[in-house]
Amino acid sequence: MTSTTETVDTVKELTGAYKYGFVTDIETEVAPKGLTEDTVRYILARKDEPTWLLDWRLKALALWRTMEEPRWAKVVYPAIDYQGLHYYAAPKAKGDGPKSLDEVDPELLEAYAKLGIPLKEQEILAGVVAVDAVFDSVSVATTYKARLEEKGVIFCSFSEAVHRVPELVKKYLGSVVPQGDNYFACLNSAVFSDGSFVYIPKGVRCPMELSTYFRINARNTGQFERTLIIAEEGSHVSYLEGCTAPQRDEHQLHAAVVELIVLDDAEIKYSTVQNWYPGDAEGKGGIFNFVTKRGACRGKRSKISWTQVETGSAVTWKYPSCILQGDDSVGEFYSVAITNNAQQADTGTKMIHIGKNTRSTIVSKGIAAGHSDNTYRGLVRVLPGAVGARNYSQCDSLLIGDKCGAHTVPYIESRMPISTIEHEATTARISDDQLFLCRQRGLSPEEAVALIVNGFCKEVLQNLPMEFAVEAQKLVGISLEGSVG
Amino acid sequence: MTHSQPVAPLLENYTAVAAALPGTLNPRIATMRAVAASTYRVQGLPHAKVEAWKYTRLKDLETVGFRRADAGAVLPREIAGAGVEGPVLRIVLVDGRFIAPLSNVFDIPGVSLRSLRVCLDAGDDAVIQALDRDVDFSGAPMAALATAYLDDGAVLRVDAGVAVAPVVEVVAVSTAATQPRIAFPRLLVTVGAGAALTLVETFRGPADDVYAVNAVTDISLGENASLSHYVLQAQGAAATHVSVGRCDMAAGVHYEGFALQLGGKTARHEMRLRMLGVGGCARLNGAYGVRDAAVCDTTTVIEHIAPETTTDQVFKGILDDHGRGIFQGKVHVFRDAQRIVGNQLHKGLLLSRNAEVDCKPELLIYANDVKCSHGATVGEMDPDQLFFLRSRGIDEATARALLMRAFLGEAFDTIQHPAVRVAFHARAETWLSRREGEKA
Amino acid sequence: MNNGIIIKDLRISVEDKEILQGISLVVEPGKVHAIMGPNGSGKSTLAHVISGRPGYTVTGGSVTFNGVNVLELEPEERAALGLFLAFQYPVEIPGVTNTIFLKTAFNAQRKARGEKEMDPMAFLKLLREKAKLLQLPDEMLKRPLNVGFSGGEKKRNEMLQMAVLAPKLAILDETDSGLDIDALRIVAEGVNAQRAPDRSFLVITHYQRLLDYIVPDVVHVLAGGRIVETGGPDLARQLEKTGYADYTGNAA
Repeated sequence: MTSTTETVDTVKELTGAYKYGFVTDIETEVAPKGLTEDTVRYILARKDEPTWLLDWRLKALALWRTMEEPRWAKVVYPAIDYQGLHYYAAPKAKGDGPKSLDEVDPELLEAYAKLGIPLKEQEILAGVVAVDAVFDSVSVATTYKARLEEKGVIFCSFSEAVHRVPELVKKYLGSVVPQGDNYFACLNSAVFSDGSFVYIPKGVRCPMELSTYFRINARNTGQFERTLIIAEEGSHVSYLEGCTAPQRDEHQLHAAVVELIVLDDAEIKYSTVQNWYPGDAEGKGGIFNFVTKRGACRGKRSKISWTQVETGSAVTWKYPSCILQGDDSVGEFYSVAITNNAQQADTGTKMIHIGKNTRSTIVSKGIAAGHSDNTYRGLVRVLPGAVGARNYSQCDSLLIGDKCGAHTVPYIESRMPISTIEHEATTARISDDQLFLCRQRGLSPEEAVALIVNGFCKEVLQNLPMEFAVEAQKLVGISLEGSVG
Repeated sequence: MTHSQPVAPLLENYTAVAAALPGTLNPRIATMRAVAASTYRVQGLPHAKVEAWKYTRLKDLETVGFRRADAGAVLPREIAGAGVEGPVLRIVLVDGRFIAPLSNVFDIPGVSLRSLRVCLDAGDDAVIQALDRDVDFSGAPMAALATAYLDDGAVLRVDAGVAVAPVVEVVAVSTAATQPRIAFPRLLVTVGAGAALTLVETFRGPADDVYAVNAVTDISLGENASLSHYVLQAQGAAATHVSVGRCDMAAGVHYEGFALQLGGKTARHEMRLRMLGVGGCARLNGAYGVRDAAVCDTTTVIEHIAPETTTDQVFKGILDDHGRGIFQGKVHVFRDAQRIVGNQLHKGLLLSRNAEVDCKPELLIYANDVKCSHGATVGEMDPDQLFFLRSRGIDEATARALLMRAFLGEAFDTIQHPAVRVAFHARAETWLSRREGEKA
Repeated sequence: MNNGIIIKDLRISVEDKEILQGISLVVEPGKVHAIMGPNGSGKSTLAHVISGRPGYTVTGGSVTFNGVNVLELEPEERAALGLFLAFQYPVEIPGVTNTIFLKTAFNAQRKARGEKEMDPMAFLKLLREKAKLLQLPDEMLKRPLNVGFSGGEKKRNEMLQMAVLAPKLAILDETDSGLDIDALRIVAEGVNAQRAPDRSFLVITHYQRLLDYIVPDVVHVLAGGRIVETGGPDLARQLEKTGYADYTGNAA
């Protein structure tokens, strides 16, 4: 995997460092700006949703209005004008909407092809990955549905799931992230438009990687997707999401909610490569990425593994968490967060140990360059019943340049003596010696930084599914473009 | 989602009380107090939204009607300090008041000891300046409250180049009273360039009375000065204890600190080091023991403002019964403060299923040539070690006692002053043996 | 033009202190030159300056390598020309395996020279062959670069890098320091195996013992920032007996 040399090629062939900044010119239907009960009804009407969901959304909206935006994270951003946003945007369907992949608007297929996500099944590498493509507020295509259904796996857009399996949606929606959990999750609960739904039946090992590709395209639009994954007893699934957005001068809001439910002996591996538009070198534009991701290990010996590579967004506020309820359940969090230029990231995890012999592992690698601020914030809480709980956390920061900041704020709360919590954190920089060695052996400064940083992140990157690991390695290099003189 | 108003008790009749405080006519002192009082009024007692006080509520201060303490009468045995053997000079503060007759006479050339009240009455510029330096009350309502009631205390000054041989011990004692009272002991220490001092602060009071202490110690260390600073918090079991030590360090300073907390119902000791000069180095260690339903908070804030400064911190806590231990350690490396080393370790040992440890280390780093680390572990006694000892024929109780002492011993070994090490060790031993006495 | 490295009246300062005070030296292709000298004489500075380490100010003179003025080039450009520095203190890079590191460097240099990247399998084969020659176990290729390596392993690893990158001029900066006699022999054999008509070596050492194994064509004595004597292999042996006392006196 000599990703570094390729990385530099990629960088050089681009005019700017952000490769996915193009805008797709497609006729778009948007909700009127602003957020009222009518907005919620507008979304509902577009999706033909049942009344129980309307009530659920309206309740969330009412709650949201009583809440305040959280201010505890180490991020600074201008006030968001919640009434100045469109809460729904969708490519205008030609006719009655696509019945199959062949009918999807060629402009959209083209857009995804440009992002490296072919939506025509025959073009996808030997059926290793099934893709749900979410464009602004709607899912435009889901591949390999038929093949998955043979195994009983449901992989579809959230909107479709509401109609197909309403009882499952009703049972689990908001059961891990309640409406009032936090300001952004509550907002999402009121206005979420689409997202992915995954159901893996008992004993099934999902035959391929599932992947959702999120794309924000329209201007002045917030994206509020909702993902729900349910892994029944003894099942297994690996799910990956990717995110990009056009290069625009104004900030855009992305407030997603992801809920995972894992029953006895089941496992969900959830990987994210987040590369939303980060804004320019001065901090103009870029996505505000305020995301609530949480999984409940409800079953015995269940497991959730979060892996995230966060390189994009102007501001990131994100703490993928595990509630370890089932005895012997396992939570993992592997994270690489890279901030460059004026980016700010406050990200980490929460591991809540409730069941006996629950185990959690946290490996966080934060890399700060330019004028950026990069914070790891994590909570490990061991509750009184969690006999034999174990946590190991390793948080390393790397600083590139002397104008950035790297911060580590772990919260450790233990109420169980028969448990072990270990936390280690280090901060260092790329040494002049390392840089010189690489250059003496023939690498350019950019290649050298990419190589060294990839080494620093290795423990995390190797947790990504193979197909995406190489991509992520390249992204590491691209994200740090311009960080060394 | 309730947004309750801050609760700011202890300011009843403040205007009347403030008018009677020393130095009221001095505009600078009056302003200092007024600013502090209004800051406290706005912030109120610490609550969950104040990040610096995330884990500690001062419940008694919220509910029990404390009154500001007048100086009570003490018995000689009550002014005993930490029990340090050898030459000791003692400064006694009773309910926050400097009591000269109980204190030693400091007849060492280059060392002066004065009452804060006298200094304030006289409008001593140097003292006012030292009290009024850029103290930031954000997230520090208790320090603001203490300054609002700025009254008496001790002012200790060591001139440049003077090495003080005897241990200087400050005993802040609270006396028994029929009503719950709060005292505000205040200590101002200035150590001149190249001077050296060993300072032991002891806090104590009646074993079972409800009382409160809100203490502030301000220390200023001149270039290449050296300070060994030991704190023993041995308050009574029903006491609310809050203390903060703020230390400004010039270039080349050597600071060694150790804080041992064993008392109080709710106790918090905070050390804040500002490393303002190149080459300063600090070792800040400590230990605590919590039992019954007590809460013990140890908080450190290190600001590496100047380059080439180093800090090393090791804290250990033993938690029993329903006890709750808190450790917060913030290390802040400022922009351009290069070549910094900052290491920190906290270990909590839980002896009971009902005990709790909350730990929040925090690294804020804005310079890139920095080696910083922190580590935190919380858990029970190592079952492998326990088994090993038992397999060699040691009974379980003895084995546990042995391991507990080994756990704390590591911390005490860092105390550089031999007599203080012995004295603190003995304190901890008494604390441990009470546990064993009860549970045998 | 293939006339080796030509150093003319090279003057180098670090923070206004002149470390090299006019060095002139020519190493022709195929030759091995040794540079000996007491501590602080400027030996390592010379190695660093030739390979382009930042932090040195050239105040005079020139360094050309096969006709190219290398002082104006970035370190990686010099590397692509075939200049290799074996580090006195080999650097660790956590998380980057030996194999990945070498493959990345190898292909970067090929690309800089306008050559095609080598097929990964072919590269792996090459790497294993070279490792075998230096008695480095395959397992070491999978370990992060120099992390957890013993002193001897690190130095052998430098030799491995040299063998794989096949430079035109290899500068060995006190490669013998910290080596026991067995490791020294392995390192020397590695170097000797690579002696070739189009490859030259600049062996920097404080002690003569390395030169028992790598026999130089020319020996220079560097003291006080100047070359104070030049001779054949005998000069090294003579120094072993007399030490540097004569020269340090001279230079001061």
